[in-house]
Amino acid sequence: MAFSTKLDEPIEEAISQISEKLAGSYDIPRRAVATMLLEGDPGITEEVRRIEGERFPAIHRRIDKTAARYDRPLSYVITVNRQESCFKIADEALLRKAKVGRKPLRETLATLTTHPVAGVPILVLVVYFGLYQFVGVFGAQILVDLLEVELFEGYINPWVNNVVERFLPWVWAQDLLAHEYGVITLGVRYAVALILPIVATFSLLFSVIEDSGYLPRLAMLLDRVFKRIGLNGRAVIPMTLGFGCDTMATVVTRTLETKRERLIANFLLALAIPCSAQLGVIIGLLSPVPGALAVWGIFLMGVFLLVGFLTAQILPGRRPNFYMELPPLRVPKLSNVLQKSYTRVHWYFKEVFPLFVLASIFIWLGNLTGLFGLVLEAIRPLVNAIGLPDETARAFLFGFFRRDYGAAGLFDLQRSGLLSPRQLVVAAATLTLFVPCVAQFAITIRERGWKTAVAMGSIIFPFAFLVGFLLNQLLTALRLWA
Amino acid sequence: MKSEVVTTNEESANRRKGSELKPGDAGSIIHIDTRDEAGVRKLLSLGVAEGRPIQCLTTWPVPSFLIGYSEVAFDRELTELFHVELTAPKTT
Repeated sequence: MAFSTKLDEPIEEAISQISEKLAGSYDIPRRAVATMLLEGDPGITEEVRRIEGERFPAIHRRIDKTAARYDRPLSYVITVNRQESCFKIADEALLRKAKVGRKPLRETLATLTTHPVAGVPILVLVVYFGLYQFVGVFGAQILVDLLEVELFEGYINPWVNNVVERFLPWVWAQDLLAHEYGVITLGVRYAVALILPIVATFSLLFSVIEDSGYLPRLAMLLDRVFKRIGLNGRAVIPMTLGFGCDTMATVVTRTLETKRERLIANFLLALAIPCSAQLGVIIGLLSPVPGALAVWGIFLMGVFLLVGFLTAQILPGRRPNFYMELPPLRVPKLSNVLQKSYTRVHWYFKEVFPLFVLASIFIWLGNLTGLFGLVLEAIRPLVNAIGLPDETARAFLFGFFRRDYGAAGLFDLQRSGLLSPRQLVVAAATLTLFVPCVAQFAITIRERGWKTAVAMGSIIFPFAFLVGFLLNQLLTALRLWA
Repeated sequence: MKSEVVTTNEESANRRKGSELKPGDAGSIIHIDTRDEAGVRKLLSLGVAEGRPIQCLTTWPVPSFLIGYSEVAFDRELTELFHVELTAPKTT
């Protein structure tokens, strides 16, 4: 069967004439360049103007002449032409047409996921089993224990320390590679033993959710809420990814349409979305105290919505549109899920691994130069102001290098009985808001530029402590966990 | 002459803005307002084009439609940009 994908005659004529006029060299076929020119693609138009120089006005006249023949924009006419071809092909090629009225069970489930009332418990179930049980417990606790505690602390780190001590006579050089903050013993261990299992389990979960067709429906469900904070339902994807890794999610904000949305999403990710590493430890930290996890969760959600709302008021720009195709709900195919997860983890490692190495070099420098001691001194009064003991300052400083390390530091303090439940909640909330980890900060610089990244950091830092202060006052006034 | 007037009335009675459709309403897209080029590009990317059959599925939390073989959703602002001629008005 032969199919024609020819466009309207006047447009075809214009395409061939413009193609002949193009003298420069292009990476794509001339026909494609000519079609995109007629569609008014700004990028191609600019490139052709630059490459063709003096020949451009003649090309432009030919476009105008074609446009004058239609009462609709050429981009519209061309797209409609293409769609007609697609529909024709689909009609002829399909052996069995979809029945009118779809499968009832699938349809009912699909409707429920976007239902304003029933949709919420479904979301809670997905979060509980997917995020909490699979990523939080299985990935962040069981697998991390196996790799970090058993493999690295049991075998690799002692061996590296041993080799380094034998062959490098200088302590400063030994510390760069090994010991507490070494590139291998901290940087590589962090990337391989901590981030890898968490990101891998998260990617698996995310691929399953993605292939099931649930995400667009979640986007639909949350669109109204997200509109209030200057985003739209499409931002569900980077925001959900943030619960896996904020660094990865910051890269994914590229998929948002306007600069304003990308900025708001980036800011909210840095401020209020805990990554899975941090989430795992905080869940472990707060679970023993009844209600503490709920207070922390509700509090952060409140901050997320309030700050998003305020940011959307301050930042100028047009309201974003929500538009999305809703694929049918399907049972995901295992091979696709595995392939996707592998690609994601692979890409993630390539992007983020060097940053972990860099971070551990920074920590080594900070320790070597005594800079850490000074910073600790500076943070101490702030920590005291929100009702926390001196020891927590260290947890905050380290939280910048490893988001979860900060929380893990609190874990130790809790076990030694140094923190009351109220202090734990305040510390966990402040630490979640407190500056993003160094990897996310580096990615923010790359994606948004120095100025924006520094501006974000300097808003988030005082804000986290201010909010922690207020939360402490509130809990004290309510006599909660006094 | 007389019949022509009746036809016009019938047409306008069955003509709805995308934003006025209710779940169950079906018809075909008869007009798209191309002045909002950015908006139209989004609609086109989802298969909304003149002459296409369309069926409204939901209006809340976000309007969603069956167009051709696919189900799509977009916000109210975009549903303001097209008109539909109903073929099977919902019987209540």
